[in-house]
Amino acid sequence: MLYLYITFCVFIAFVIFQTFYIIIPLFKNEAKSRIPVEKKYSFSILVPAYNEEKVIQHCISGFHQLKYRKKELIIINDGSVDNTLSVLKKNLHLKPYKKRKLHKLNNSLIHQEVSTIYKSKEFPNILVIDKLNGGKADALNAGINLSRKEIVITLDADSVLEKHSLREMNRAFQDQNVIACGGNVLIAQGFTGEINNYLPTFNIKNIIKYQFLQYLTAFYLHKRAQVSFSAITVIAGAFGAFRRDILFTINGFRKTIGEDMDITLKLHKLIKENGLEEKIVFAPHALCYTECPSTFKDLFKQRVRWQKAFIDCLLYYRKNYFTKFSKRFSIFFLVDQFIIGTLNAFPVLLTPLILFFYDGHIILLLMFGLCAVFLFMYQSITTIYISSLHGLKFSKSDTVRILLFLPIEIFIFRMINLFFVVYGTLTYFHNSQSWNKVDRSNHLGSLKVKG
Amino acid sequence: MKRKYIKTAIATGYFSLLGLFFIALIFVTTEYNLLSKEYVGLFSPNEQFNIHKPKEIPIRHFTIKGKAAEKFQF
Repeated sequence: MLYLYITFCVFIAFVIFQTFYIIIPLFKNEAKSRIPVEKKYSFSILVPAYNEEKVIQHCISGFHQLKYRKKELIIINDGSVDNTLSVLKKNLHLKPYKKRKLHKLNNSLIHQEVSTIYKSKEFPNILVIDKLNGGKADALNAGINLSRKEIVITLDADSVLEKHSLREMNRAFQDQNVIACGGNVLIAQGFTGEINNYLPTFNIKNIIKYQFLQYLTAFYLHKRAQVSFSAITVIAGAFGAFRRDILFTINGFRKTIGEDMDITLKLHKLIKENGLEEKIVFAPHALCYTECPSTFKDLFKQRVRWQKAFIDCLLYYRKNYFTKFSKRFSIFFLVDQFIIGTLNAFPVLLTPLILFFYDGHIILLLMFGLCAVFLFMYQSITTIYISSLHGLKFSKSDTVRILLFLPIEIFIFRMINLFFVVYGTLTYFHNSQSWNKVDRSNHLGSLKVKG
Repeated sequence: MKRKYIKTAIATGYFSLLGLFFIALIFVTTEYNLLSKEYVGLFSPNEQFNIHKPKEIPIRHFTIKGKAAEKFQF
């Protein structure tokens, strides 16, 4: 009976959170709360690169497309063993840059030794740091030290910013209380055409379809709902913006595989501990296109890494919930992310076995399952509608494809994802810090990114 | 204005379906006594083909009279 009551409580919590994620974004109107733009902030875009020879040029091309003046690009070559540095030297015509002294760099945030800082002859607002390998967090810390602009943006090497993304970020930071802002990350493989005129398409592989829908739901529904409760759980590492001085206050990025979640938690802690009015927000109009894994092997690597990162943060901050984090954030993090997102995965995966050996409450379990299917479907349909309000309009044939794909997504891909969650959780205790780098499919190369 | 109607329709549809689900859940729970301790499953044991051993085996008493009684020795 206890098992039944626990299941029922988890189910009710699941329904409540899903209701938040469907209803709040539906009626949320960011345009109303927009503050008029009075100040133009300057941006340092940090791109950590480890073995990114295939994709780094697209990232640079994307930078050139940005319609914003006050910006600089800092690429941190984190001890790559491929030709990343050669590609950068060749394409950017790099020369050693001594104006920004190395000893100053080493006095602030801690990171591995920097061997050389380069500047592009052709593009004076592009710098390259060549350093010993130390991981993504380490590379970002080096980049923060070198940066000189007011806002620091972290961007993945396999990502391309949309031309007005910095303008949208600048708009978000007009509120003086905003210390960090998450950008909206979209799957590049879900688009065709030229950069800045990308058209969404659903005529893609099933594995991409699943991630495309998942990202849309995560960013257009979940993040927008979480912001309403001041409980954003992670600023995606693929595209996040932070006030530079704040990053120094919290000692930059912690060396962990989940540096993006960790920095978000650090910021929440800072806000709560100091009783500050500061905010972490999300800018749905600041777009970034990123490559997602296109094979099950790579998806497995990525999701297991994400899950390990989550467990790492969950345990690292275990003494801080409800005391050094706000109650709202603690509830979202522990109930939605941990109990529903992680713990619940174990019994759900075991449901067929439970039904096979014990028909005691088959009707209840089936009803819970049916309700979950209904909620997922409704959520996906709401996602498509809200995406269309934000300019992502699918053709009629693509809408049919999405509807036909939904059962496959719910019954196959979500189940596979549950397996990733369970596997990632268990293997964290065996090998907590392995990165498992995903192979780049270089889809950004097939999209027309003007260089 | 059209947008507002669509949003309201989506929200109304959502709550209506969710409400229906909970009504069905309550109905099924009470109908099958799902939360009672006596509930043993959807397919309760059939009386006729019950494989469980009954606690008491009924004994029929009978007597044999006449010549047949000589053949039986108890």
